[in-house]
Amino acid sequence: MYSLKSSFKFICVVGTLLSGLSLFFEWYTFQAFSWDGELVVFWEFYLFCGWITPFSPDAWFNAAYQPSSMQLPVAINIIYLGLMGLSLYGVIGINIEDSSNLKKAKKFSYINVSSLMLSGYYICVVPICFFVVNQLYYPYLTFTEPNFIVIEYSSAIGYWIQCISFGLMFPYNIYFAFTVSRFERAPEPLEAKLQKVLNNVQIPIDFHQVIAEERLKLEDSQAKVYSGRNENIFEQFLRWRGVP
Amino acid sequence: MNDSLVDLQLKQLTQLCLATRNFDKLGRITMILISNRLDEIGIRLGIKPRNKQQEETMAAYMENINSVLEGNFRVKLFVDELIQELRYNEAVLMRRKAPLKDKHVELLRSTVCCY
Repeated sequence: MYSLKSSFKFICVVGTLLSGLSLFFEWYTFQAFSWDGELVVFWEFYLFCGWITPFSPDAWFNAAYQPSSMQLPVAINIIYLGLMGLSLYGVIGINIEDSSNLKKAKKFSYINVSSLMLSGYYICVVPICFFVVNQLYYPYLTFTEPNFIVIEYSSAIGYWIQCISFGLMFPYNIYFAFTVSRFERAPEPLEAKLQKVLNNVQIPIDFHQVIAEERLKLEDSQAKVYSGRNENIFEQFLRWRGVP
Repeated sequence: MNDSLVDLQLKQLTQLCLATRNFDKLGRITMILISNRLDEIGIRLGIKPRNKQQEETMAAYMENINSVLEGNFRVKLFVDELIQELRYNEAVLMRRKAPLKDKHVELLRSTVCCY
């Protein structure tokens, strides 16, 4: 069991490293071939640099097919790299099973989950909100134009490394987060558990209500005796006054 | 609930019920207290609670507890006289439709003593 956990830890480290590296690879390739198979258009998208082409600016055909520029925020890339670094430190530096500093482990569990969520952002949100919206199809499409130009839309190696690294990071990061949350919950004392069971089984008695009811009955029965006396006195009074 | 508080409240209720001659209420409350106490004993010993839906009597439950303890520890928790007394009291107090009268005060006394 211990070797399995250490394997997942190692895989998570590899996934974290790959995830950070993937930001520096190309994420999308847009290319077109002429009717005789010659490469006439070639654009690659990098997360930090945007669209890059090996063709010179004079290649007017290539320039005509330049994809629309996308306003992908670079700040998120930098934040992601920072999170990856911290996550890596947390995964390597903290052994969650032996850790006595729960606060520190909790902070790193948040960092790990955030890094997973950002990785999910790169895998799902970026293609849909930035590429597909600009008619750059995911993950792959070949299209032949009427003038026999073959256009190829393709996600590139950076995207696939990010997908693989998500799968590598996921198990250990989730295990880390669950372990921290389990340690946080204080075990319920036995007496409290027993009391919960007893509350479901026992018949509740409201002694205050029962005693109050009997007291009222007692006072009422005494009051009836007194009200009988009051009526007699009042009748005597009326007779004395001579009221018919 | 605090046992000494319950004892005090039961004493108060007994005095009031005897003054108002409401013996039914006193009998029912005492039986509920005995039922709750038996449930607590059973659960703490790890025995399943009394099956009120199937109308398992308190006397039968006490015998069940005795049999479990005798089987495992050779210990009897409830004496036979107590079980017999409670069996009779339970039959009268829980199943009787007519209100209790003055002659049943001794019955109530023994029920409170059972508790």
